[in-house]
Amino acid sequence: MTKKKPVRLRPYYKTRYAYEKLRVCKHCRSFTVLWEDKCANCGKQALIPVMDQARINAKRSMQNERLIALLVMLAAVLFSQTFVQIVLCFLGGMALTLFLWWFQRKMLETETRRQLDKLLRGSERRIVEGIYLNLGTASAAIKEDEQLGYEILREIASIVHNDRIRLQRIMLLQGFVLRKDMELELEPLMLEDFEPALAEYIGELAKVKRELIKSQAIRYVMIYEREILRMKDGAGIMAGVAGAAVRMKKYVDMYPEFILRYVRQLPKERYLRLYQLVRRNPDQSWNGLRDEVSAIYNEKYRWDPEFQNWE
Amino acid sequence: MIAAVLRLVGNKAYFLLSFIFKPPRKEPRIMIAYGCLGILFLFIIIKIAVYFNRQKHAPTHEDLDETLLAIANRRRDDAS
Ligand SMILES: [Zn+2]
Repeated sequence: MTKKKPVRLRPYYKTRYAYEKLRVCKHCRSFTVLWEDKCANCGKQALIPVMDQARINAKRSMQNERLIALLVMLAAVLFSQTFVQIVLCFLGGMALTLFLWWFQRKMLETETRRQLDKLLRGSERRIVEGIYLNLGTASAAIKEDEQLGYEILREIASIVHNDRIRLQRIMLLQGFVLRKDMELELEPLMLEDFEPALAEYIGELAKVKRELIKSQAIRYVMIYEREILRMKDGAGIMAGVAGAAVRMKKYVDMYPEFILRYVRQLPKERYLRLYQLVRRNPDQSWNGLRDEVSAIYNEKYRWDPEFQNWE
Repeated sequence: MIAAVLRLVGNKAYFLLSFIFKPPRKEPRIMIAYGCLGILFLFIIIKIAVYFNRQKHAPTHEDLDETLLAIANRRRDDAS
């Protein structure tokens, strides 16, 4: 395996909705998920978020309606015979148009959403083309700068969910030195099938950022336990995940047999955590896990001062 | 001044339209002017009804996300 590189990943701005990542070029109407300043298609600095484009569209259609209203009012004024009629038609028309305008402003939010829906559905082909262009940028970047390549793929993955991108990201992550303060994630990278790189990544996360190990990852290593144990340091990965699982009672309740299989390989600090859990829940047997924990305690840690004040 | 110009244009337009519509003799121009106002009123009422109807069926943010994800992930599978 090649030497791992220390990297400092740029922050990833997680948006509430995936479409907030998508931008459209005002000039050539092509789409992008990346953060570039210039449109990759036409080179103009005309990229705006799709929501902004939708708002522009909504405002334009509302403006057209007001224009029609004003034209009809003008016609009424033109057909007026006396000055009083002109004033009446003008004031009446103005009042109605202003009322329409006031109402349109209240409806702008819903109209914008409707316009965005229209924009997305009407630009299906261009959105897909934009993603292809982004993926091209990603593969070009990976060859030169793996970190940049990873960051680009991370952006694309906010909209495109497929195993190919997940695997590519895991592979790139394997080339980096992972640290606790890094913005890492696991659940969005989970695959269905067995993949040694993913197992390795889970093993590493169990060391540096164990709060990311949740049921999905625990289930994954349990399903592919045999395959993982055949890997180099596979047992270490399994023990690492078991060690991460004991941080919450929930996981001990769910997977006591799994933890039982690796309880003897837990480092002292993880074992202490499990021991505390066992002591705090005297009525749980956890399918024999409790007895095993007691046995290990008696064998190894009976005289350890850290185990005396466990509260 | 403006009123006079408008009235003049109005007279011309009425003169042309009177051939097509043959309005009744009694105060016909008032009818057209107020008719336009009526049309405007109707237009706005219809627009407001349309807006209300659209508001009822407007997509939520979650719907929009779903739409986008469906578009972005549909073709990728058979292309890759
Ligand atoms: Zn462009």
